[in-house]
Amino acid sequence: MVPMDMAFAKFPFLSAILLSCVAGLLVILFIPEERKGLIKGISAIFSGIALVLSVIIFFAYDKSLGGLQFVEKLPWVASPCISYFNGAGGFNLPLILLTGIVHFTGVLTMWELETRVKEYFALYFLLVTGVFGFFMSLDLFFTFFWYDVSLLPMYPLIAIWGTTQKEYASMKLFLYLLAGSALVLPAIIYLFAKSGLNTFDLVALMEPGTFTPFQQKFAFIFLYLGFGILAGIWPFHTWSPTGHVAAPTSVSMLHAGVLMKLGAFGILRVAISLCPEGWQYWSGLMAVLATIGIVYGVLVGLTQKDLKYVIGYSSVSHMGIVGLGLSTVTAEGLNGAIFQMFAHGIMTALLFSSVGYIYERTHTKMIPELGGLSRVMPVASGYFILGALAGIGIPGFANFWAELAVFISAIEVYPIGGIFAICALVLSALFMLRVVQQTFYGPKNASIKHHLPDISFGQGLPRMMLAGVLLLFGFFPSLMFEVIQTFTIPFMEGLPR
Amino acid sequence: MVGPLIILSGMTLALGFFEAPLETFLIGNAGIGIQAEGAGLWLISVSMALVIFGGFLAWFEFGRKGSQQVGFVERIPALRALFSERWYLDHFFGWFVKNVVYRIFADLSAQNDRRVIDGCIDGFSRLVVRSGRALSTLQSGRVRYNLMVTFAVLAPVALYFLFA
Repeated sequence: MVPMDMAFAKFPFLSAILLSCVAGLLVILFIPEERKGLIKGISAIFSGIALVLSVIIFFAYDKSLGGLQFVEKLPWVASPCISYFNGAGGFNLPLILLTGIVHFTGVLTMWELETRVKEYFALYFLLVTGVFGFFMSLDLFFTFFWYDVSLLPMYPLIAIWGTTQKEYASMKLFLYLLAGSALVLPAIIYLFAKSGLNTFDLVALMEPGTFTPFQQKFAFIFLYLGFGILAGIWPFHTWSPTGHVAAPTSVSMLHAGVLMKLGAFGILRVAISLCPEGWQYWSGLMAVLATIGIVYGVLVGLTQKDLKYVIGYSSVSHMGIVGLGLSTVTAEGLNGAIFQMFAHGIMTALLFSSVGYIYERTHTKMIPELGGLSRVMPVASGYFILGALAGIGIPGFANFWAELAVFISAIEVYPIGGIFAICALVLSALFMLRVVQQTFYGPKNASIKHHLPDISFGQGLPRMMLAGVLLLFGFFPSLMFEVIQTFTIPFMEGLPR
Repeated sequence: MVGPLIILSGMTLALGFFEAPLETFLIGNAGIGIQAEGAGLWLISVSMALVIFGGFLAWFEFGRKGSQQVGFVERIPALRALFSERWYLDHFFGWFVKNVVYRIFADLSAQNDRRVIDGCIDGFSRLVVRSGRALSTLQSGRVRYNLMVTFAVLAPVALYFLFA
């Protein structure tokens, strides 16, 4: 593997993003509970700052230079060597941008929240701090730390503000994710001990020859399964649809849009980067689990009656596409997998955001109780339909390019798995179009009132942003591919064969 | 309606006569002749026979004097149904989605998700809870239970060190 070039930051953009979340959290804690409007305003301002900074670093990243940029390194503990070490490259810039977008749109989506607003936004900011920290950290200790920071707030956020089976869902989610964490931690300690470098520095640990092939194979499977639970790999996925259904709208957006990507990113950043030979050794197993996940997610989704469950199972299927891309051990597969993480995150946030609005107005998410909704709420229906079309993989949306890149490489490397996955895509069209037809078209359900208000311009703003991003990267995919390739091509060239 | 048909058939005939220059224009010299070599005489004969048979059938059914002006497809009910139902493709698709995709694969997967995957996890959770409850009976605070647990732990350890 080639050592990564590093360009230190003149302005600490990455820390500024983290600080905007921490500062937002602290300011919210000092505002009196009853000043709900101010809390929401402050949340919007600080999440807006994080979004602007994320957009700046995405577009300011020098693609001709490549490598790690905006690097910040501050030694913290001398022995074992732990540093506050952040950096951005083709592997994490799309995900930092994704988090910035979903964070900001999530705050706007929850503008009508009236229950325990202060606690909600404080926990929400804590969750996002953990997610940002995880994506930008280049120190294994901090990677694990931020990983746990992002998981902890999920429990109260679902248990307090959730809906369907919220206690069961929050407990299940928390136990599953802790089990994943319990697999990751021993693997990290094992790698730290076996490296003999006495450091948690990911860049130093990535140097060729740090670990023997056996050590890589052994640690990889723990890291893959541990992070894979969070990524929703089959058969460890059932926490995810249940959690999506129970969570409040913006948490569902973050949960499916960003949190599941933490798992896939962990596989890429920790498991694959540190144990490339383990990756090659276990890639067949990864492909099998991913293909089953793609097909299985669609099939179970076909039987669901709850709109959120439908999106939840489609997420299992779409995350399977990420897994399939990672399993191909090719630059194209990695490109597709990283792009799919981004595209799926935006698409699923749009879908959950639209369902959240429909649920607030109709008080139901059950498909048989809806029907003909586009006659009453054409704009809200339009946003959902846009998200569904992106999910099917229609050209013009970002998802199309991501799925195309994954399937091209999958067909080359695993022809049978690739064919199964493509067949599942056809079924996924059936699955999404069925939902669209039954929910938004046909005769209007008698229980739906005529005068339900449609999404206003202000309420539609976050949905517009999400749809706009899907279309932007759908029409200009090179904006994303060029950034991702600065990581994938040198990484694959330096891979031991 | 006749106008477009005349234009289209005229263009088809013209393209047929100018096949070679057109092919050169489209794919260059590289592709010329490849198709003809691979096709063989039998394919040309079968194609021509089919065209002639089609022409004859059309004349027989509709063109000759005293013809009924009704095609054989209309006269045979089974064939008529086959074509009017578009080869039953929609029926087959509907049947396949309903009975194979939904009833077999989707329902089985959903059952598996609920009963097997979640069932294992829920079962394991219940086992942990019940084991915890069973073990909690030992935590009665009575000295004799505490001594019994201490003995149960220490005895195997002592035996191990004595005889190992």
